[in-house]
Amino acid sequence: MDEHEILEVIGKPYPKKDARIKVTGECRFGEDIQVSGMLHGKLLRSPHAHARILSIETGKAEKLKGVRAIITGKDFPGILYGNFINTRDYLPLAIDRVRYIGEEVAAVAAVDEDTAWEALDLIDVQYEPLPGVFDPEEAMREGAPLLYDNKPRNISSQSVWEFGDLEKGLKESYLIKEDHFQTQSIKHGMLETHICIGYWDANDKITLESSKQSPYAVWRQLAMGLSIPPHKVRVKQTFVGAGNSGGKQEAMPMDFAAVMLSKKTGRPVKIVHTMEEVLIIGHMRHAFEIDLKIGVDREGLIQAVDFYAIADGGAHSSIGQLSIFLLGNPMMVTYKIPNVRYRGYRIYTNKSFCGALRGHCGPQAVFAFEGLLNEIADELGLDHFEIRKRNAVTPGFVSLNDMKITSCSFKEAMDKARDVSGWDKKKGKLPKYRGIGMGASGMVTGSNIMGLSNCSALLKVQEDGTVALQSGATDVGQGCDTVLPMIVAEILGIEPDDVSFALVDSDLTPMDPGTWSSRVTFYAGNAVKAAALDARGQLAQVAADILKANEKELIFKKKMVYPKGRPDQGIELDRLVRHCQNRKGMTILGRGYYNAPADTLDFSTGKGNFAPTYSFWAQVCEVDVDPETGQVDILNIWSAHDGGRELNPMLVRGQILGSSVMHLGQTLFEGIIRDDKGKTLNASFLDYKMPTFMDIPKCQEIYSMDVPDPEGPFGAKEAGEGAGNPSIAAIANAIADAVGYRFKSLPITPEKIAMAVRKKEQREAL
Amino acid sequence: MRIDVKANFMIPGVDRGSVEVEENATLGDVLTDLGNRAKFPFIGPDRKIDPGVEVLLNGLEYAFHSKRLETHLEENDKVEVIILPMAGG
Repeated sequence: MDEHEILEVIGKPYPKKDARIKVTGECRFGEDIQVSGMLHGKLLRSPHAHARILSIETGKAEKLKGVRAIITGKDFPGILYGNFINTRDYLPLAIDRVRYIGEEVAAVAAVDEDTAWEALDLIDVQYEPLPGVFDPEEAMREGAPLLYDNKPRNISSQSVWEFGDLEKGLKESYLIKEDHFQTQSIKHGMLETHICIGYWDANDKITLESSKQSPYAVWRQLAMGLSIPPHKVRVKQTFVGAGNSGGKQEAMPMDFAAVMLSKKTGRPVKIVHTMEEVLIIGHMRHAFEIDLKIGVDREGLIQAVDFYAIADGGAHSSIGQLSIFLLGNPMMVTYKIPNVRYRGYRIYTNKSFCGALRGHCGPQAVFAFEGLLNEIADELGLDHFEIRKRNAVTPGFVSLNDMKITSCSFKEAMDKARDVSGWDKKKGKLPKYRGIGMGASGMVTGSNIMGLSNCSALLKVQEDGTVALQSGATDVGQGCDTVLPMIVAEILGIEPDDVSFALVDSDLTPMDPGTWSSRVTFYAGNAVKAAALDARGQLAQVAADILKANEKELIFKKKMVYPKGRPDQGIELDRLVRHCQNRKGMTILGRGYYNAPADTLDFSTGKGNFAPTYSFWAQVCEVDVDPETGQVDILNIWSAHDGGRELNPMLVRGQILGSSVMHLGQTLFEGIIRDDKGKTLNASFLDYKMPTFMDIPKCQEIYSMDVPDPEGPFGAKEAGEGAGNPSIAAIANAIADAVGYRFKSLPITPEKIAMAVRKKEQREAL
Repeated sequence: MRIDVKANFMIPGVDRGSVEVEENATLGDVLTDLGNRAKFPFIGPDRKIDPGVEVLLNGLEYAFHSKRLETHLEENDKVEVIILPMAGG
């Protein structure tokens, strides 16, 4: 093998760079930041799901000892901000109307948190309650109360597209199955709640320190909502104590309140959400009502799909226009579908709003599709893997909505999952109440939805041969703080520990879209690779002159630079850097950027190859079900993936394990519970059931197809978020296999299972 | 005259990718008309294009046309309006 091609770093299981400071408690999260003179802010929230604000009286609260400032929506310019121009519906604080219980109407800054809480009780808000609407189907009916006067039928956004000839496809189908599926609203349980510290200085420069996973989105939204130019805003990212979206993507009322309270007081203001606040406000995962119809021929080949969905979007739009498109997309990058109609409607209701959470609508769609596909397979007498392999996308396939499949080892991943799980020995042969099920799915690697979808990187090679790397990418626990330095280390022949990774600072680090859509390793990785190659090129030019060698033939390895095949005739990297600095006045600065070869997504038609590549997942789950209690014991989850080359197998494994646990929670017990007036009833982790160590599968096995993607940095593509796409389906299908009954509504609680078992036994006894 | 219109979102009344406009219509006129149809303005009170959209005239971003929004259109000119999300998910 050519010396250039021997990988020293890539593919090795380097521990996450921040693991040590996190496990020892040394990591400085936003909550740990204390600034001299800092005040503490709290937010007053609406007790009404829908009401007009008649007046806000703050006089009593202002007189409370220790209160320094109180603001309301009228302290802001009253400009709507949001994600898309056509769905801007956020205000920093509500002005004349509230649309869900928990919506922010005022904020207090005080010398301590207790005083701020006490002051909130002294603010007198007069409301005129308005009729609310809590069910999306009711909200769509003519005459239903409107959340926004310019949004008829409460449609926040829609995605409607049709390709091929649906009627013809259904007519020519040998078997048509249809069913209704329901998924619930959940909240990812990031242990660090939202937090920010706002500063508004005398030069009108605003600084927000916050645990954001897309700091530049916050940067723009703050500027928009405050009606100031973006250069007046500086967003500094703190360590993020888990992201998974759920509100760390966008500017939140707390961010606006912190900076405005700082303006009023001349002091920094810190606001930290309680977990109760996190569980009653956005961003939630969308709850869906899905009507799905699939037609197949005698061989099980899909002839037509009709997918209709209503999403409960809550009171604001967030990124809803993309969300409602994405629900329909997984099937298009998983199976070859010749005729398809998709109609998705995202509906406003008087509930906390929904946005992008891990998988962004994929897991819910796959749960429905895979469940119905199994029913079809059973009726045709086909094995569950077999029907999927017959329909699976393959390399070179172009879907009807223009998704272009390039590298694709989907069928190989299915074969692997089948083999390692012992499927053939178990399916239909397990003891009563033990079941095995599978799920499969494709997943985008970094959607290009226009605007800033590309990534950039800057790096400085320092005189001791180490590198200071800056990209705009944010580590939210997924591991880019380690993988991006590994890419630099591979190219410059150093160790990952020799490369530092900077937190994002909008005044300093390169522009970046943020951490979403499984993009960071691919996009930022390619940008970082380009920056490292740029730096290596500069160093090689100087080294070639010193070493009397061809610069293209130089090898960078083990902190040495030497002509190919002559390691004893090289120069140490640190000496070379010092030579560049001291003799030539060259500071070695590498710069790189990357934009993916992808199209624009056309929301009006549903068309556009909006990702540079796609990953593929097959999962098998084996469960034991207690027929008396309905308790599900997950014995094993086998995941086989085509996520390209694993740049760091340890981190990929961490992603997949975490994703499985997250989605087993949604499958089995998680869910926001509200009363009929929109009040959240389980706003604490005592009542909102999250998976604990007791719920984690007994075993999880992970297999990579390890086929490099030609476009990805060192062959990588998405390898984490997609793991969750088939998880709900695989667990639900295993439960169906165990108890002989398919659950079409999430979560599949022990109560539901026990009831179903009892009814089945009663039927069988007759 | 007819102007080709392409957008990555639904604009009501855009018939098969084109609209009828008056002779001598400017790019600004067409964008105002399209904004009215879509029910959200693309041009702000300061006569600047909202940063939430990108506008191309015949494949070139509008700002690179010397007369910008005052550019007079000709038959079959192509106007593209692309909405840009601020963040993804």
